[in-house]
Amino acid sequence: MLTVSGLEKTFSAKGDVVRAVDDVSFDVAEGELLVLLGPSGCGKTTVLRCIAGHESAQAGRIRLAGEAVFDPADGVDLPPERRRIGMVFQNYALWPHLTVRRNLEFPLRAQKLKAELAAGDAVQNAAGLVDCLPYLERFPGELSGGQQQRVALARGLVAKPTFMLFDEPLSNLDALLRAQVRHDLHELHQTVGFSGIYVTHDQSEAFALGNRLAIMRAGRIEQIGTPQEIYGRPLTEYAANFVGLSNRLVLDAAGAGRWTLRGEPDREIPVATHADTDSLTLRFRPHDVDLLTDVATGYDGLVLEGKVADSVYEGRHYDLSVAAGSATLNVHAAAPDGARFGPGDPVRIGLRWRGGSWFGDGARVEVGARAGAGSA
Amino acid sequence: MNRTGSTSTEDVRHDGIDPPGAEPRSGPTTGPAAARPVRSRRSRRRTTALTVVLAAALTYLVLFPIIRLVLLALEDGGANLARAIGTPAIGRTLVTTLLLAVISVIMAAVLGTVLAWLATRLPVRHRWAAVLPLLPIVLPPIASISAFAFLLAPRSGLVNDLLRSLPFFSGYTAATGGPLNVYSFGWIVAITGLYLTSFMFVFIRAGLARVGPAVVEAARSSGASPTRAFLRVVVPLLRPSLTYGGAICLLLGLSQFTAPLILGGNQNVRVLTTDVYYYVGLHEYGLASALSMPLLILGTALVLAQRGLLANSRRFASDVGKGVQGGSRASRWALPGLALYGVLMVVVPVLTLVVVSLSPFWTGHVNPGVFTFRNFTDTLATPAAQTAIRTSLLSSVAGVLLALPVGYLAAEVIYRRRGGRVVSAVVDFIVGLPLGIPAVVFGLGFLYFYSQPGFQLYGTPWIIILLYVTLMLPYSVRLQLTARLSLGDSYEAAARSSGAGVLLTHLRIVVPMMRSSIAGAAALMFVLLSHEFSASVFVRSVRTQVMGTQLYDYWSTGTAPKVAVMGIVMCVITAVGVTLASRAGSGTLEKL
Repeated sequence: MLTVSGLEKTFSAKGDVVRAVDDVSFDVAEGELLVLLGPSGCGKTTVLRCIAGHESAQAGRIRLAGEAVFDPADGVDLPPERRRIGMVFQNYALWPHLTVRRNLEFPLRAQKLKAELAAGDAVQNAAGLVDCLPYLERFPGELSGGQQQRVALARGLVAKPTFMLFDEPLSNLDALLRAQVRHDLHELHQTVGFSGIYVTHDQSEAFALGNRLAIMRAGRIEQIGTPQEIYGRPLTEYAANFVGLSNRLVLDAAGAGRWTLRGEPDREIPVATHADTDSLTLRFRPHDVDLLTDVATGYDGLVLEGKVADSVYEGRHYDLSVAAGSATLNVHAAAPDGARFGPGDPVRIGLRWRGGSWFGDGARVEVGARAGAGSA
Repeated sequence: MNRTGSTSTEDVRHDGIDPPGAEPRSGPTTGPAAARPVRSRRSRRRTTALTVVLAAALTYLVLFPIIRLVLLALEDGGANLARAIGTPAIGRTLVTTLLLAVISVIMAAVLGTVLAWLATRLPVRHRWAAVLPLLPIVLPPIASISAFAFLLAPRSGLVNDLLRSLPFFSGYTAATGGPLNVYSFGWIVAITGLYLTSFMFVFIRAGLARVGPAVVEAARSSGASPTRAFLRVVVPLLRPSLTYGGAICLLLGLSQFTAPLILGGNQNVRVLTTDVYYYVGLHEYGLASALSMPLLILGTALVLAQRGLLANSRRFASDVGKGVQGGSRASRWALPGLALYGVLMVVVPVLTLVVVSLSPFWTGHVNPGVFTFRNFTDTLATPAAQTAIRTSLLSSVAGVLLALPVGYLAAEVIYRRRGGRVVSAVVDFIVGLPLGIPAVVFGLGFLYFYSQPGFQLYGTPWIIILLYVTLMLPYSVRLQLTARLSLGDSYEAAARSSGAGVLLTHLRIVVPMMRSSIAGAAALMFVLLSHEFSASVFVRSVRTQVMGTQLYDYWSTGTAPKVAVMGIVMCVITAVGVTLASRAGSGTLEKL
C-alpha cells in the first residue's frame, strides 16, 4: 500500500544541521495500521508530514497505492491535495467557522465528489461511524474534546481516502477519554479496515492500535515489528526502555569471564555470555521481579541482594525502590508481601533468566547462568 | 548520523509559536512555521514569481520615494546637506528637537509605567478602565492639540480666563495674557509627554504581562510593601520593555510634528520637522530633504534594531506567563489614576471642542446663553469642508482596501518565507519601514517623487491614497501576521489533505478564520488614516485637502469655531471606527 524508502530530511538552524529523518524505509500493507513510536523530536511527525506532502524530503521515495507521490529523481512531489490521504491532527484542526456538517462536506467539495455530496450518505455514514450524527449542525467550538476528535476522524475518513495518517490524535484528551477513543479507534479499524500510519509517543496506545510498531530514535527506525515481538524481544536498549523495561543494572567485565556489579566490584554476578563487550546491561520490568525469602534456594535466575530505599503503596502493589550496587531498581511487590518491607530493610530479589533483556554496547546479547556457579 | 554528502539543506524558523498545550517539541521537526511546503517545480516557480512581483511593488511604493529623497540630499556632493548645516539657527533647532524628545520621553516613561502598573491592579469590575490610556492614540492629535490651545492660550485660553478670575493671579489681565502659555516650549513638551505616555503604556503593559504576577506575589510574601515590590522587583524586570518602548517613543518625540507646528509658531519654537515643512513651503526641497536625513537614518536604524530584538524575543515566547492582570490585589488608586489620565486626554479636549464649536466666536469665555449650531451648519455647508471630508473618507477607505490584500500577501511571504529567505526578509524589512521612518519624511518623499516628470500624481487623490497604503503597511502586515501565527499550520494542512488547493485553502479556510482580525485591522487603519495629518499636509493640494489639513488651514486663518467643528467631525468618525474595531474583535487596540 505504502512504500517509503531511503527518506531523508534535514533542517538547518543557525548553522546546525539537524537530521530529522535519516534513511527511513518501511512498508505498510493493505489494511495494516503501522504505529511510529518515539519521544518528541525523534522525527516521527516529520515522516508523517512528508508522506502527507506537507513537507518535502530531500531524498528518498514514497509510493502510495502503486503511484509515486514523492520521487526527486523524477521530479515528482505531489501536493497534499493530490495524494488522496485522510489526516487526523493532534489539535483536531476542525475549522471553527464551519458547522460539523460543513467540515465533513469540505473534503467532498474540495475533491469535487459531487455524487457523494448530492447523495448525502457519505457524510451520514462517516458521522455515523463515530457517533457524531446528533451534532452535525453544531460548530466545533460547541463540542467537547472527545466529540471534536470523533468529528476529526470522520472528516479524515469521509472522502474514502486510500491511506490514513494520524498525528498523535489522542494526546490532547484526558486519560479516561483517551482510553475510550482509543478503543473506538481500534473498533473502527476493524470495521472499516483502512491502511494507515499512527504517530504517538505513548506505548500503551502503540501496543493497542498497531498491527506493527516502528520505534524511532533521532530520525532513524530503531526496531520494527509486531507488538508482541517488540514487547518480548527488544533489540536495543533504547527500544527496551521505550517498551517498559525501565530497570537498568550494569555489570562490568572482571576478566576471565567473570562479571561484577557496577559500584560494588567485590560482588560477582554469576552470568556468562559469548558477547565481546566490557560491560553488560540488564533491563527488566518492575513487575517481573520475584521477592525471595531467605530460605529460597535453587532459584533458576539471577539473585541480587539490596536494601529498600523507599516503599510507595499503590493499591494492588507496593513500589519498592531497591538500592543494589550503584543502581536503584523499582520493584513491584504484591500488596501483602510488600507490606513487610520498609526503608532500610535488606531485601533479596530474583529475576528469572527469561525475565529481562541483556544488552552489550546498546545491542541485544544473550546471557545465561555461569556454568559451575550456584546462586549467590 | 555519519552519512556524508547530504543534499541541500532547508532552514527552519524556530520562532514559530506552538499552539498552547502542544507537546513541547525539541528540535525543529514540527511547529507550524517549519512547514514550508515546497511543491512541484512549476508551482514553486509560480509562487516565487508572485513573491518577486510583490517585493518589487513594495520596493517601488516604499523605497523609491525615500531613495529619491536621499539622492536629493546627496546631490552635487552633498551640497544640500552643507546648506542645511549652514542655515541660521540650525543649532537651536537641533537642541530644541533633542530636548523636546528627551524630556517628553522621560515624562512618558514615568507616567506610562505608573499607569500600566495601576492597570494591572484594577478591581475586576473596573477592568474596562485599562483601555483608557490607549484612547489618546486614536483621538485625532490635531484636534486634541488645538483643544489644548483653546484651553491654555495666553489670552483666549479658557483655563487662563478662569485663573485670572482667582485672587492669586490678579496681576494678569486679558490684555497681558497668562498665567499659562501653551505656546511656550515647556507646554509643548508637557503635551507631547502626555501624548507619548499612551505609547509607553502599551509597551510597559506588554512587559508586565511577560513578568507575570508570581514575582510580585513572592516579593509581597517576603514582606515587601506594594511600593517596594514595584520599585525593587517590577521596575528592574521591566528594563527591556522600558528600553524598547523608550527607543520608539524617543523617535516619536524627535519626529513630533503636529504639536510644534500648531503651538510653536507663536514663539518660534522650531524643531527639525517644522523646519522641513517650512522649507517645503519655500520650495526648498533640497534643504528640506537634507534636514529630514537624521530622522530617516534614526528611523531605519530602529527598524533594523527591532528586527533583531524581535527575532530574539520570539524565541522566548513560550515562556510568556499569564500576565499580571488578575494576579495582583486591587488598588483603590487604580481607577482614579487611570480615569484622571483619560479625562485629561480625552474628555477635556473633546468637551473643549464642543464648547468652542457652539460659541459664535471664541474669546476664552464660556457663555452657554449664546450657544448655537450656526458654526456647524455654516462650516459644513462650505465646499472646502465637504471636499476635505469626502477626500479624507475616500482616501482612507481606498487606503485600507489596498493595504489589506497587500498586507495579507506580505504576511504570507513572511510567514512561509516564500521566495527564499532573502526575499522574505527584504519584504519584512520594507513593510516595517513606515513605522520607523517618521510620517513627515514619507510625506516629503512622496511629494517630491510624485512631482517628478513621468510620475506626476501630485494634485490628484492618488498620491494621498498611495501614501496612506504605505503608512498602513506595518499595521496591516503585523496585525494579519499575528492572526496567522496564532492560527497555526494545522487548519491549512487539514484543508490541503482534504484535497483543497492553495487558492481554495486561503479563500475558504484561512481568510474566513482570520476575518475578525482582518475586520479589526481594517477599522483600526481607517481610524488612523482618517486623522492622518503629518504626512498629508505635504501632499495635499488646493483641491485635495483632507480633514486634518483643512483643520490646519482653519487654524492658520484663526477661525476657532471652524477648527472646533472640524475637530468634532474627526472625533465622531474616530468614535465610529473605534466602535467597529472593538466590535470586530476585542484586543485590536492592544495589538497596536
